[in-house]
Amino acid sequence: MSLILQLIISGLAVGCLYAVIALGYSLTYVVNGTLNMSQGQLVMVGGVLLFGFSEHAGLPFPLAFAASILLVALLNLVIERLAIRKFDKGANSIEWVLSTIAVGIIIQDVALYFNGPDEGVVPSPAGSGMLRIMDAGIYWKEFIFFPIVGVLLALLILFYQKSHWGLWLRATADNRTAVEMMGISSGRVVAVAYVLSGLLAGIGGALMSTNYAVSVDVGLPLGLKAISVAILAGVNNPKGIVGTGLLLGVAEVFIGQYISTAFREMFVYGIVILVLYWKPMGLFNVRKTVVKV
Amino acid sequence: MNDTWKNIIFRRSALWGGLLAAAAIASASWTADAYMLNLLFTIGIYVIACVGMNILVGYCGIVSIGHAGLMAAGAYTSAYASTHYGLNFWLSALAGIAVSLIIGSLIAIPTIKAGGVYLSMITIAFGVVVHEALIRWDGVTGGPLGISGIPKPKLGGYAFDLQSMYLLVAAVAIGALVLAYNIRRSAWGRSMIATKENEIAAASLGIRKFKPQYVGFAVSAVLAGLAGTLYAHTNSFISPDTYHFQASVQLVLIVILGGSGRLLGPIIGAVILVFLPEVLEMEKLRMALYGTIMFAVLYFLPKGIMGTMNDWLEARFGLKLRSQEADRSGGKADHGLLFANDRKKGGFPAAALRLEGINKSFGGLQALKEVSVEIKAGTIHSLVGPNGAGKTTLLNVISGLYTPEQGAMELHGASLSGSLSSVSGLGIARTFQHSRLFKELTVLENVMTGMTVKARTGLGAAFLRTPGQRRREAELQEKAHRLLDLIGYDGNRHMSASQLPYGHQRMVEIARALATEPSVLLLDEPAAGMTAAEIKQLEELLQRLVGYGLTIVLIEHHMDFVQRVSDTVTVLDFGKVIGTGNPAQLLSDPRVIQAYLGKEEVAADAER
Repeated sequence: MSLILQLIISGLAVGCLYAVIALGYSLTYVVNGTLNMSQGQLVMVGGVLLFGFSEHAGLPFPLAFAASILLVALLNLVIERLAIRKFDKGANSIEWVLSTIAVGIIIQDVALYFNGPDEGVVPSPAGSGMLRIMDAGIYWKEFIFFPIVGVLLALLILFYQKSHWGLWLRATADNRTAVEMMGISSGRVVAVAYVLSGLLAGIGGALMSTNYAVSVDVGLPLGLKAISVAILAGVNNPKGIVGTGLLLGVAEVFIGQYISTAFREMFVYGIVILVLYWKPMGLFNVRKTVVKV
Repeated sequence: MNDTWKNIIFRRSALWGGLLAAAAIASASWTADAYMLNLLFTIGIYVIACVGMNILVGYCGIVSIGHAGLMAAGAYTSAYASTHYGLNFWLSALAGIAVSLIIGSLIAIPTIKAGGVYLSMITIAFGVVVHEALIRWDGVTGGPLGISGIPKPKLGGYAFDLQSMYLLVAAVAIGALVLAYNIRRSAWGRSMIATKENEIAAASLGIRKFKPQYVGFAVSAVLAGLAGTLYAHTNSFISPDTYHFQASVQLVLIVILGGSGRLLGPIIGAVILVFLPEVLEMEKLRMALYGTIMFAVLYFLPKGIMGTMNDWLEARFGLKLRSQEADRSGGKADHGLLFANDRKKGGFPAAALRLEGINKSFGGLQALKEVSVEIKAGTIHSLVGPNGAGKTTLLNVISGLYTPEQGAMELHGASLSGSLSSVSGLGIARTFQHSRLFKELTVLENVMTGMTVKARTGLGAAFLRTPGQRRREAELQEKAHRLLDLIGYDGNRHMSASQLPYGHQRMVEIARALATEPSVLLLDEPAAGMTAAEIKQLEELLQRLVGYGLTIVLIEHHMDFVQRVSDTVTVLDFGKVIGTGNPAQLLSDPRVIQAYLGKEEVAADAER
């Protein structure tokens, strides 16, 4: 019983990360139909930067944390400007897929050049103490994920509902031409979406490095996992993404525990392929698109 | 110098150039040292895999970043079969290719429908999973150490060495190039490009996305598996290191660097990418360099080296790097023979199309309300009405793009329903409000694409370009020329459709629709953007088509044009039919004028 509870909680912690990273894909995809295939590498950069700032440069944790996520957000702004804007030519275009993959390769190799292949864990400010719930022992540094991600999501919802940028983001997602006609530069709205998505990636990476070992090659598999979450849920459904992320985190931990760690990934991607076949737009996709000719 | 001469000279030089290149490739095996030979061999392997990649990326528009995984499947299967079971190379290679094809199909079949970024993501994941499996499944794959002692091929008493392997790989690579060339010049290649460029237009010609795209994926999987086995048996040692994510990226990079969709692109790309690291001698940041090259190509050379060069040559010398056929068909044949004879007037019930109580809504907006229309066979029936009246929606319902919520449709007395592509098979063809030509295909190929469903030959014949296939292609070309004669297109038929002026695009689109041999033709604002002379030409064409027994449904805003050509007019307003009758009478009907111009009192109210 206590093992199961423990597994569920560490699964949920991983799931929180998946959800945060996958939301980053969704934010930009709904706005202009593109997403950053190097999102995983951005997450890695967030983690590696936090490790560098707090362990090597000796910055206090909050400062290091803020600096790393802001840098990642900035990096994503640059990516939008260079790798997305020119190649954003509608649904059939494959150029932005390639260009952001190219960016991911560059980021990973440059990170390897500066950081080396070593992995590192940042000591969490939550300490290494244990929390006991019904015989199950949970590390505080893991448990702290839940309130942080919860607050983050609440802030995100608030931003969407209350700020004018949030309104413009929702409007651009709905009808880009109409937004342009209201005198709002949709290019800037897209850039804001990318900054937000970068913030999420940075937060995901920084959070991750407080509990898991981060090295330069965790980015790609993590990005793939997160995009699987987005696909499973339907890329334009944020609530579905959070739910699916948590579910996938728990499922993975259980598969790893009771079936096999080696086949865990295969299992996940197998499910993604099946879902794509059965429901190409995701399990919980809310919107139907009407073809206009 | 006229075009024919240019052509002959071009063909001659292409032939000699090809022979010379082949001779140079062969002689390299005697003149090059072992180091050089190894590089040339590597180029050959890349060319084989990337020709398949080029079919996938360039023709089908699918970006796979997992083909190193398929190469691994081929290499490991073949290596395992020959080291554990002592199978000879030829059989184990076959097994390797088969496994690569099966695994490729397992990824492609479920995901082609979702397409785009989803498919790319699945292929990346596949590559990552394979790499992981190669390391962990050490009972079979040898783990991180890989498999060594893979025997070289033998033929009779002869054992291959590096030199003869190089020759073998070069021959296979040339074979792969010929295969790609043949595919591009067959109905299969045209349908691949058609579904990539415009899925809806392709479906309106009866071409479903899945089949051609799967064929493209399967060919690329086979070539990747083949390249993998050849590599394994030459190198006699394979390990997971060769098949990581970066290797898959490299394959894509070779294709887009050379020029995606360009036949010789993979050669250029492979040569550059194999020699570059040797020249630079860099250990670190090699992947960053590749990423930067990829980025730079996308940014500055979106058509790749071959594509850019081709454009430049064309602009400079007016030459095409593609060979050309004679530009015009011979005599003026009876164009009526282009259409099936049993569809002449009288062979059918009087009504070609009958719509009964059609309802269609989008969310809260009811676009069509209880629409009932009867369209007589062998007539021109126009749909008019103000913007947003539901004309295009009605056309979309008839052509199967939309499914009506209620109502029944009949085509020649039989019930009509189904998707865009299946309706096309029943003999309804359509054009679109905004031109949807396949821009990468030539004018002639666009029209030939319309004949795909009725004329698609077997895969084998198309791949090998058998004499029967050539004859068939010649017939299709002849027919396409005649259709272009019929619509009165007298421009260059071998230029790509993207270069056509707008009015010509509309006409060619009609020719493409006619190529499906329809009995009913739906035209959505064909005269929009046409010059007065072109409209005159269109008018004559429509009269002629009706003379051949076709039924035409026309949406148009040029009222004088509508009045001249139509036998019957149906007026729609707010999704309702407000009248059907003969044009002169109906267009002067006060209700119709009101629908277009508004009520007088309303207008007066608004002024106040």
